[in-house]
Amino acid sequence: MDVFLALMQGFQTVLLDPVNLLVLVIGLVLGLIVAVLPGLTLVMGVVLALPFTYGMGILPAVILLTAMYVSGTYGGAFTSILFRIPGEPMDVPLLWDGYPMARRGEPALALGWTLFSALAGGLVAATAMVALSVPVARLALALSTPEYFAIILLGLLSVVTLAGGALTKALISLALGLLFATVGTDPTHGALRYDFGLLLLADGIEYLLVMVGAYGLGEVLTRLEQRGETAAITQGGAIATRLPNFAAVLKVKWTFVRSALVGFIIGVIPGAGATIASFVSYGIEGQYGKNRGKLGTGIADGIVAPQTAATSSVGGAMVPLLTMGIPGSGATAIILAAFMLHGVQPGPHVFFKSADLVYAIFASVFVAVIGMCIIGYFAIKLLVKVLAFPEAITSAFVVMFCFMGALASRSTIGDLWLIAVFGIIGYLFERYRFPIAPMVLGAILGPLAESNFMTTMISFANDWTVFFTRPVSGSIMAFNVLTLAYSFYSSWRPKDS
Amino acid sequence: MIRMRVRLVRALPFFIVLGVGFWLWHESRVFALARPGYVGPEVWPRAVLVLLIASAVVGAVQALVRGIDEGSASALIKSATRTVGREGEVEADLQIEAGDPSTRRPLWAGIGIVLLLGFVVIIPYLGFTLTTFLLMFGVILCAGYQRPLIAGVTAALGTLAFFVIFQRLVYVSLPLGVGPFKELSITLMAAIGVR
Repeated sequence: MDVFLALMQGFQTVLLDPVNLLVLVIGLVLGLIVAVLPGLTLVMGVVLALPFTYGMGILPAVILLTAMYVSGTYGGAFTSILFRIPGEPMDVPLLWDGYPMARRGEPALALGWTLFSALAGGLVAATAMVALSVPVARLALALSTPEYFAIILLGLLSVVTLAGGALTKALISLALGLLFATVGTDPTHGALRYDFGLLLLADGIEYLLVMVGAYGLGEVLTRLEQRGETAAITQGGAIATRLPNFAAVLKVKWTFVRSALVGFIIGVIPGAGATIASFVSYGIEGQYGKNRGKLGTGIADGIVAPQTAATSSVGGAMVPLLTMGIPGSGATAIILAAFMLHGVQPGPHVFFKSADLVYAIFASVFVAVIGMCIIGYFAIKLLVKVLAFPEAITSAFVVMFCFMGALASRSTIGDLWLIAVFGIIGYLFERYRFPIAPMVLGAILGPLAESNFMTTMISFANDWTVFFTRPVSGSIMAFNVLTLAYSFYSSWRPKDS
Repeated sequence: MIRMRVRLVRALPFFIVLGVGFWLWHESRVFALARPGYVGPEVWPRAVLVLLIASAVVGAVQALVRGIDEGSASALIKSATRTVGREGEVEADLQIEAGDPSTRRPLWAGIGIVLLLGFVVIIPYLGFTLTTFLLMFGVILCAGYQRPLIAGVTAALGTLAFFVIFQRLVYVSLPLGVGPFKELSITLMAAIGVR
């Protein structure tokens, strides 16, 4: 009952405060635009919005970014279904059934199925998020630094194993991110590390520069390389949304239940986000679905599965973020950064001591899910027009938003140098297929991992075996080792087996 | 011979990382604590360096011995798409928005890098407004936009918008430039009511 009352209080904070409501609507519209706009990805859009939150209070800042995250999982469906252009990687499975349904003359129904899936999946996952967060936060309260270190390591390794591409490249990316976080004054001993005599580096490297540079400038440089090579637009039908009837919804009820569950669970796993949820859910449908034989021909099940899972993953990803301070996806890593920029480290203590803040964020997820569907339903014609916006102009604005983020941070020319360097690193990573997410997460969680490691070592007389001998941390560390070992084994075994 | 060259090219990034790893290990002596048995400020970076160096060695060996070039999709995604028989399509579908990867022209990315670095180099001299205009104009043209007049107008309007946002909304002090460029920046600031 306490949870219910706290959630109602949260709704009051979000809906009755004009500032909170306004930033939520702005976030929803921006998320939808970013998902549709060529040359911008959801994570990149959330990164670019981050500097604008400096001047806001923590609640509006988190509401803005969360609303972008929620609506970003839905907006890309429009272009996938209508034009066969996935707005986001997570929308690729929608090409396989959504576009054929549109080509068959039912684009409005295909869009209706995505709306239903996003709405129902989002609300179910938001409810599960609230229900699960309290016990997880209580559990997290009982943890000490060795356990925390093991959990952070689990988060970092999950990103590595799920990032895609070669495992060694993901590990290198992670290690570089962790090393960037060590630059500057060491918090335990006060020693200067890797400053090379430069004042700029003595102050440390802000993770904001790493993420904005690598995601923003790196992506623009990659796009410049593909100069003038944008996808052709072929429309699949009229632009409108028609909701499916109740009988049709009942026919896909098990697809919906499976996908919502899969999406939520994958969202909780650090490193796996909406993209993996969408693909895995489609794959499960292909294996266990009632209509698996017809998958790919333009059936509702093929739309419901990926869209429900993608939106459900948002609720799942918010659980480890708000209860333990571990981001479950790229976008939640940036929301974590927003918390930290406002001097708050999310975790069990914040969860219970600032319950009003946490429940307002929970409430904002519910409102965002409903709001994005309303905006999506009525403004779809307007939103898809964004697709015609020249990518070259988007790129120029993205570059300036990135530099603006760097200047707004510490107002030094040195930060402009750093962000440009991280932009080049981001481009080289894309070029040579090194995943960027582990580096960004390493830069964000590096200081937290190091402080928990050092505190443990000091508290337990430099005995590193403590990580393996305590029951909880030992179990998590064993799981970490096994995960890494299995990943290495998978990368070495013959591919045709 | 060509196959070996391809493998060497694939291994090159790992060798660069390996070099960086050893160099950073060497540099960590500067801040290492000279008290045996104590956990000093070098322990954490060195632990990370072990991970970096080991990964680079394994990556280089994989690239040289097996010539592995993994796709960019996650293992979970590959597994899921395999079950629905679309494993071959997923990489291509993920690239739809970006266009055909075979038509990549690294020269334009190189020009982009020059533009970014040029912006940082000249901003203290020319000031925010002029440098921003030049960067935006350059990026728009570099990205393949064919109409210079519209590109110029867009860059000018964008510069003005960013100038106003910085000065009136987020209150960031911007580089004013030197000499006449400083005068220009001050005049613009006065025009929007910033003293």
